[in-house]
Amino acid sequence: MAPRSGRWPTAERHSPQGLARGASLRGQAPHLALPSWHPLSGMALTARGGSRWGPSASDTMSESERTWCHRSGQRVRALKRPGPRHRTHGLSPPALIAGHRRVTAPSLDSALLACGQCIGDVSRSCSIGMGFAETTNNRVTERHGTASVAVEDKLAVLPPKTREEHMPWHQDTQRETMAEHNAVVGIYTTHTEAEAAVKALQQAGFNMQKLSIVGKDAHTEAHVVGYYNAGDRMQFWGTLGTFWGWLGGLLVGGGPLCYPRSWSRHRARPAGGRARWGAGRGCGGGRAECAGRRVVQYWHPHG
Amino acid sequence: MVGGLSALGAGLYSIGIPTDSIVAYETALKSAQFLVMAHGTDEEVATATRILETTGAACIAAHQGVVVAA
Repeated sequence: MAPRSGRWPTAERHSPQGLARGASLRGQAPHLALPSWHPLSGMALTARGGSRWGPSASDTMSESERTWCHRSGQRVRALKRPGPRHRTHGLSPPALIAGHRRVTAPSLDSALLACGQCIGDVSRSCSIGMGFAETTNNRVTERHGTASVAVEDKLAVLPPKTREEHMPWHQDTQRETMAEHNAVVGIYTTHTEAEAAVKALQQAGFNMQKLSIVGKDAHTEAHVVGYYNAGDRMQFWGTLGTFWGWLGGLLVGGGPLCYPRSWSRHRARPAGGRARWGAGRGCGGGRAECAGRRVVQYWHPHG
Repeated sequence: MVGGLSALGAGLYSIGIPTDSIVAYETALKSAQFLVMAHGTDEEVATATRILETTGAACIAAHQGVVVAA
């Protein structure tokens, strides 16, 4: 039984029956239940617990589903209801977030017009004196000359994108940075044996782009010379002797990569026809990196 | 460049050589030995291992499933 006074009776407000009635009428949690009567006029409120998404979902709303709207500072409720997207595609349901806004206008009609499209009809209104009306998602309060409409919008918010959906390229990056590699390493004491191993792999049809050989220069003991293939990249350290010339051509599929001494060792140079000038020649120290079609040269500390 | 490794060690690490084996390979290089490395899928590495076993290598070590973080 709704009281006629403006204040809630304490016993009624805290009694389980009163809380349950308020929760059932307003479709909210019991401890957040609004009174089912107007606090000043005592008129009973009529609320329809439901929306176009189905019956009111707030009956099952728990404390964890309630959150704060950081943009407006208001407390909103995220109603987790499966939407059509969930039923049709099996994806996670969109969250229904209740957004609160208030529109004040000189009259009730203009206020309703200003608050935009709303769902439901005004079930009760009072144009004389203080009154209110309750719609499905609107709470209308009207005074003399002013009307205020509190709109409770239920916005369907799609679930946030996953990291892969938001940054699809990140998955590739992650696969690249945390790749699982397999490798086999054979240690040979002489370059003749290493040469025989490379030839055996070549004759067996092994991809030469996935073959690497590292060893000391046969002529200059101070430098470590090596070809390093990792996918499309090729790196070369140290000097290039005649012995390593054929290996370079074998591993990179073209001529061995070498640079004339006249080129600056401090500036990166693009790839071109001159990048393969020094095939088979002994060249100065330098570190060359071939990434696809781009070849750059770096200064080598031992060069 | 991987921290604590030389340029060559970083290159070896990027193709799937674990860090504890890199030191051994660098030592072999300093002793004028040669490294022939093949990397790829499991099948490719298994094929390369069988081929290298027939070429008289002083030592052959296969590293499989090494997760490399660049």
